[in-house]
Amino acid sequence: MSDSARPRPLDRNGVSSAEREARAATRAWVAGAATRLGVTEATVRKWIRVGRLNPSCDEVYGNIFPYLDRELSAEERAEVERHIAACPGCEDHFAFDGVVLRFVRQRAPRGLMPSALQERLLGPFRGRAAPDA
Amino acid sequence: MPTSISPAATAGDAFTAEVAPHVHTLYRTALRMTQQEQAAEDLLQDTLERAFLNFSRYEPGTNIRAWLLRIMSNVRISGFRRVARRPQTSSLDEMEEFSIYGAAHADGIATADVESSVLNRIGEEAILKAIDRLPEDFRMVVVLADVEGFSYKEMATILDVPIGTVTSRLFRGRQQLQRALWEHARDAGILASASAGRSRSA
Repeated sequence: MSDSARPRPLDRNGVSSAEREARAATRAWVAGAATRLGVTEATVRKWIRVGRLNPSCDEVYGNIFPYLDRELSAEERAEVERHIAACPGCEDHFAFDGVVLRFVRQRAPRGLMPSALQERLLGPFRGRAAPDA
Repeated sequence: MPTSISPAATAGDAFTAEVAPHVHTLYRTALRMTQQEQAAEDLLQDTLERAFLNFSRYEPGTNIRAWLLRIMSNVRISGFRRVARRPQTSSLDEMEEFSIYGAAHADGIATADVESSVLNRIGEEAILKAIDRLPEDFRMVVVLADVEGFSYKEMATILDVPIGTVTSRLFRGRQQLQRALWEHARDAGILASASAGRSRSA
């Protein structure tokens, strides 16, 4: 019988593997939030304690671009808006990313194909008969 | 109306008339894909040839811009197969989470000032250079969404991937674009003067 088929034992501190995984996920979340928000992990933990930050922020933030791109369903959109209304940190972050996105969309240059290249590429098709099916 | 007797319109004429309004989108996208003028021209030529050969299968009135880009994407991928050198999809160290929102806090620049004191001082060419630093899969969704304005559904069709893949590539692609823009601002001295301006006015 392979090891993985047996129920996993508790470790020497009495922590189950499921709990260990959950703790690892929280640690990863805290580290990610610290990078994203530009604060230390200790600050993230403090903010979670005082209710200023909530791991559900992460889930909502994962929808930021579909939200800004208006690609969410009505229900999903309402869910994001409910969260933002109750969470000043997310409201600020969402608005900020909206500004950055608008900046890129408005300012990215849209160069045109030079007319000589247009002629070189399209010219040979003019007058051409349909290809053999 | 021309007074001269024009020859009956050929399939090639009809094709040219349909394609002409979209050559600029094709050109910009090919340039961002290949990042070289000559490679872009070759890709455009192969794309148009394949589009012409399949033009009878195009349904008039449907989205020809997406149809042409889908062909371009296929030509690009089959080119990789032929020469067996598809570029790396991602370099992992470049793909860590990033947001300017967090970076501004860390660099001591108020987020309310970022637009006026940082973004508005980034030149247009620098935006293209930042886009060009993204791995190709991520670069293409950013270009299609933010330069050409395609919807997620259209991008899924063009790239022949599920909408979920478009969404996740766009999330990571835009995060990495923010990183590239921020690094440009740092290298160009924009960040230094933004935080100096802030301490002067404080």
